[in-house]
Amino acid sequence: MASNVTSQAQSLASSQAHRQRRRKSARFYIRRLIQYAAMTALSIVFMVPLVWIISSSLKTQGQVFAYPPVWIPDPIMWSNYVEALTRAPLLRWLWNTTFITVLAIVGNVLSSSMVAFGFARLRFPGKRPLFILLLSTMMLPQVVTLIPRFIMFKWWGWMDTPWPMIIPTFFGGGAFNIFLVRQFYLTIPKDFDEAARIDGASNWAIWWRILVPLSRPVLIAIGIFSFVFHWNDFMNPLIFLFSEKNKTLALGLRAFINPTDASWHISMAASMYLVIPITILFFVGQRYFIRGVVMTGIAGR
Amino acid sequence: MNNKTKISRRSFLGGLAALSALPVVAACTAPAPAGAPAAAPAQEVTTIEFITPGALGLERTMYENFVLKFMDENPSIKVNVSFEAWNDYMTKLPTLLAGGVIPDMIHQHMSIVQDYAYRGALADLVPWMERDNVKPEDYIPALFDAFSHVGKTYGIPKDSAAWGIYYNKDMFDAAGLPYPAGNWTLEDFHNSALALTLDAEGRPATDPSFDAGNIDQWGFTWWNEVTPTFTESARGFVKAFGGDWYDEAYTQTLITDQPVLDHFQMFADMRCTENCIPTPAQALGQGSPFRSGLTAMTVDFHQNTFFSKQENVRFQYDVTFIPSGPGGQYSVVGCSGWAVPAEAKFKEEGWELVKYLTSKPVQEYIGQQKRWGVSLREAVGTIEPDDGIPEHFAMVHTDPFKGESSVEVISFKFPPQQSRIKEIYAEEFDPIFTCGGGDIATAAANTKEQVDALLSELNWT
Amino acid sequence: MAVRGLSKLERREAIDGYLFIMPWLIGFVLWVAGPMLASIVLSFMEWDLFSPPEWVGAANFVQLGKTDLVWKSLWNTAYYTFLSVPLTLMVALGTAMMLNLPLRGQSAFRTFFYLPAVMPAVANAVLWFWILNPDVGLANALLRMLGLPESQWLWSPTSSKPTFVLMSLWGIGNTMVIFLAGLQGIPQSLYDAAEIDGANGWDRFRAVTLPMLSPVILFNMVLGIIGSFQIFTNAFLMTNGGPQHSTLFTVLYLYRLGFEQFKMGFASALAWLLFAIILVFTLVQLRLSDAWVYYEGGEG
Repeated sequence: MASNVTSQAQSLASSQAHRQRRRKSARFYIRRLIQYAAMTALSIVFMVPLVWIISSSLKTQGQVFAYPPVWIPDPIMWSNYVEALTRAPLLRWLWNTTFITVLAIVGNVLSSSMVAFGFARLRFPGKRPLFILLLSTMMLPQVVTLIPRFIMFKWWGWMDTPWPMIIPTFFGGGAFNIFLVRQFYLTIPKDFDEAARIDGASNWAIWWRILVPLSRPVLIAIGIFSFVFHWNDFMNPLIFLFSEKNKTLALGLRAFINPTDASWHISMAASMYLVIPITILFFVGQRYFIRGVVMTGIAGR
Repeated sequence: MNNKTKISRRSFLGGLAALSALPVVAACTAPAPAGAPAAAPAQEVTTIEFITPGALGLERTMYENFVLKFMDENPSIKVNVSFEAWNDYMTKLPTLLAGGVIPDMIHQHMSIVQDYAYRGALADLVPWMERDNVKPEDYIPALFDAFSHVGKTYGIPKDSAAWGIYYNKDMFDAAGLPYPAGNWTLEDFHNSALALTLDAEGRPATDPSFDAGNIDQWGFTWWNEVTPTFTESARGFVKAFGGDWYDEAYTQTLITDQPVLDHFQMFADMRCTENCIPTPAQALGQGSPFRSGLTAMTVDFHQNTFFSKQENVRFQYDVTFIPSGPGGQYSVVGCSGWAVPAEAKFKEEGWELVKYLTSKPVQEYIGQQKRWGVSLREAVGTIEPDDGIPEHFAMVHTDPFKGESSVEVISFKFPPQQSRIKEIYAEEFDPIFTCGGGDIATAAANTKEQVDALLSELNWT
Repeated sequence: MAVRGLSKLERREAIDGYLFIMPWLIGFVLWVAGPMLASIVLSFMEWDLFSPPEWVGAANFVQLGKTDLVWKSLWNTAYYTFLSVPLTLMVALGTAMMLNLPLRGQSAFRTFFYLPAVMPAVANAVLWFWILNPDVGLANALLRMLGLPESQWLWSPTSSKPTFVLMSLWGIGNTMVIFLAGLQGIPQSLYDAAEIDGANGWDRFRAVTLPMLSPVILFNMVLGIIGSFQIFTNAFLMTNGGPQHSTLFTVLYLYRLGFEQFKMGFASALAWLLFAIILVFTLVQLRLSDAWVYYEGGEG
């Protein structure tokens, strides 16, 4: 089954390439030119934050807010990055963050794809109310459950450990992820399931052998989202972690920002330690993510 | 409210825990509460929890070292210290206290301490102070006002911040103005701000052809509002005008008194009609407008000296007192303090740590960093800069505490419900101080009515 | 429909169904339901966090109706949500369609467009302050260049909420990525067929892209509403509700009530009011979605 899909994907890819070759007229090039111009213009707008943070992270303290604005720092202060490292146990925090993030990604991807299968493919009494209940867990502001959650995890004995951030991800992986995977499962035609079912496959086999491979792109998207969420999350670590050695990067870095402190150049350098891994991961991840999607696209028909 | 049922704190927390862990309680026949105290250790070592906001780098390292030293001197006490960022501390501390994980020693800023004390969250330190001979006179006594209420004291000041007016000497020179004297008046201040506000053509704000849409240099910046909600420093001005924010017993606000209205009027005019103070919007994203050379004067405490040096500002600067007026002249001082939660398990040990961190060697070490102020009078001299810049640093930031100044030292006791009071002021005064119009007397009257109602509801005695 | 009334096959499917969603159900019971229940109980209590709570019945809910700032915050939040969600969806879809073109360097473009969504909030806030300064900021410089009237942005009650909407457009990263995944999933054969039928670009967008993308649009809409109704971080860091409470969004007000004014019971009551509002909007969307969402894999 899977190999059949792959070969279809290949034949489609080659027909696409063929169509493109056919089209290269003057009008085609003008359109491309306009598209590139628009993309570049938009990119500049979207790049302002990153460029500003990078530029600030390389400035001297007084230069950050200089007017007129300075985009290219002079001198370029690479030492800010070293300074940020020496002010805080960044490597230790980086390790803690990585530990939480990696396990949470596994938990989120595995369990959300499983739960979503139940909601997308199987019929059972009470499904709609349960689905609404699932969505409703996103609707109550965290502010008012913060203290009850604190008390609850204290009861579990998980204070000052990473477990409150990790273990729950293996149990459903959150409403956002389940809902997202469910929506994608629903776009996959049922023909595959039916064919497999006639061959005697169980629901577990259909989920694991058919829907999981076909929905690889959305699972990679979930992976990216949960990476970003856990990487940047400071609220849960703030409540559940106490000692310096157990803190995460996002939580720890917030202490660079002090209302009476003015070392924005250092705090921007520290922020880059958060941003760079996300950038790399997204840049790499989105390739697989797109390639996988092409496969889903031709499923059915 | 007769139908209210009192529930004890312990049973309530237990109930919350049970509710939050409902299914597990149902499943386990005998749930063993996590973190149950282990059998008493052979050697009697008490472990206490200490939580404080702290900047990364020197501040944290410094406190970690103090704690190590403290444990050396008190082998029977082990201290676990945890640091948070400022904003985060304001979320974490209530969560800990409400969740029954009570630290034994905590940080309290003067603006929130009465809020916590009013709700019974803090231990009264007076019995220990009397027992161990800790006297407010050894510290900056005014600071104790902010931490005390009707005979009880809820925190020992840990630092100090004496506010003054920093000014850019180069800008005064360029305008041909004399530098502000120590005893300058509100009028001098106001006139200097006008003369030092220049448009792109270099015309001062007093010039009839001044272009308010194109200002290159401001006379004065204040990074907070001039209401009694954000900073104690505003009280220095309002007292100079001859008014005050509250009466002695905090039964009513005094903001409808003429001197207070004059105070509001002056700052509103300076910002909205005379254009010599930028609006909050205009001051956005500028870092410190004073240090970036956009403004001739600002209100700040000694930290401005530290940062000016760190940022290598390219101009000469000095500092003087907040101006005098019909009500006199005042040096306003603010601070944070150390406190012991009322329900802490090891209050006595927490108090020992408070005493240690406000002791002379610690305070002197902190002062020598030139970055943070100190609260112990004997140590205040240590923050004076070694290079003698700015010239009048000691006059403003330390002399008043040594008793070497005629200027009266005051602080400000923020009443409980600060956050609600802020809301009331925001509603009434935002239009005025963002130059959206509105009448000051009306705003003051409306504010007074609501704040007075709140105070009487508080029944803060 | 009771389990009893099911055929043997249906019963087996139902059992599998429960087994598949079991991880979530267990997680919900263990870690989610408890705190939610606790906050319901708290909404009937007066609790200042430090002293014993008092049972006050429905008093908190009655008080909600009498508190001006409650309604002001709900109005601010609704204003923001109903402006921000449609705009965000349109911009994210437009961007995703551009990123779906077969151009060189798309990997880089995708990364550029995604990144603003993941910048640390504090760094973002400082950046926006700097951009939105009416005198020296980039935003007004741009307006001046285009010959448009300048704005006070964050610091005027009339422009502050639109400014938050504008800022939200920089954070479209996730929405855009989800759209992109959806777009990549639309079979090229459908576009080819439409082209043969003589459909122009707009026709193809309406006849192919929109229906095929509708499950994803629904997702982004539902999540957009849920998320926007709970806007907090930027307002907390940048305006703290001002000026004149024009950016006092409900969750910001909740935080203030709970953690600054120590009225956790009242805060919980307001949180459940907001919950009910979001729930109603979500149910309406799901109900309406039957009419416009097309599921290739059949109804869920």
